[in-house]
Amino acid sequence: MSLPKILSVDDSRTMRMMVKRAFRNFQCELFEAADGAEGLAAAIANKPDLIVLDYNMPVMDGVTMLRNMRENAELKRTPVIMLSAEDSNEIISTVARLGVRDYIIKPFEDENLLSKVTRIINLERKPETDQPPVVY
Amino acid sequence: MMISTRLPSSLADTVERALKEIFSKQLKLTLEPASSSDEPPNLKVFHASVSITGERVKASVLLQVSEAFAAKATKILIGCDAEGEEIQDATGELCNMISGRIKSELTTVGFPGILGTPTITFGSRIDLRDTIDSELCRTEWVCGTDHINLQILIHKQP
Repeated sequence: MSLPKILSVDDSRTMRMMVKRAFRNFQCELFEAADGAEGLAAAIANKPDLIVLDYNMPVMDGVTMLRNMRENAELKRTPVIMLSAEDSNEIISTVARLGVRDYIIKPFEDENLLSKVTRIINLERKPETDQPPVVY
Repeated sequence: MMISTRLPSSLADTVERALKEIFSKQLKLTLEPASSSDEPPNLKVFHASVSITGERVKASVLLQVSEAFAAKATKILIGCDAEGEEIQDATGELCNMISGRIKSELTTVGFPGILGTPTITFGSRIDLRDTIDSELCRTEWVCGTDHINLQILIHKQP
C-alpha cells in the first residue's frame, strides 16, 4: 500500500522543516516546494493527497497556485490546508471559495496541524522502533 | 466593520501582545521588559523586517536579535542545530509571525493591510526614526540573558 503524499509549500525553509517535523512520527511521503510555481509543478508531478500551503510567497503566491490547481483536472479536488501568518478576512474568504479545507494562522502547534490533517487523510504512526530520538 | 481613524491607543501594548504570543506559543520562551539597567550588548545583530501595507496604513516591523539568540530560536523551531541561511530564514519567519499578529490588531481597529515578505540583514543595531506623519514604537526585552529589540514605524495614510 502506498504512503499518503503530503506537499508542503512555503518560501520559508524554517516553516517547511517545522511541517516536516510535525509529521516525523507518521508514515507518509513528504514533498517540499519554495513558492507557488514550484508547488504547482510538484503537485502535477507527485499528485499529493494533501497540500499544506502558505499564502505570501515570491514568484507565485498561494492563492494563485490554488486558482491554477482548480483549473487542472487532476488537481482540482486535491485537499489544501492553508498555513499562513496572513489572517485577512478577504484572503480567508477567497481561499474558502477555492475549496480550501482549513486555515491555520501562524504561530501553530504540531497537534493543531496534525488534527486538521487527520480529518482529511488517514495517517498511521510509525512503529515505535522507527522513531528517531528528538533532540531539543 | 467599524472604521476607526485612530491607531491602537498603545502601540507598545500591541507589540507586547504579539511578541509574547509568538515567544510563548512557538518558542516556549518567556520575555520580560528590559529595565533601564539592562544595556544591550554592543554586538552585531540580525535585523528582520516585514512591511504591512494597506490603503490607510504603511508600517515596518523590525526585529533585532543577536546571532546567539537567533541560533537558539532556530534550534527550537526546527529541532536541530542550524547555521548560516537557516538561521537567517528562521529569524525572518519569527518576524513574519510577530508582524502577522500586529497586523491582525491593526485590522481590528480599521487599518487592514497585507504582510510583505521578510527581509534579513546582519550588522550594527538600527534605530528607526519617526517623522511628522508617523508613529514609532521602540521596545526592548530580555529573554534569559538575550536582548530582543522590536520596533514598529507606522505611517497613517490621509
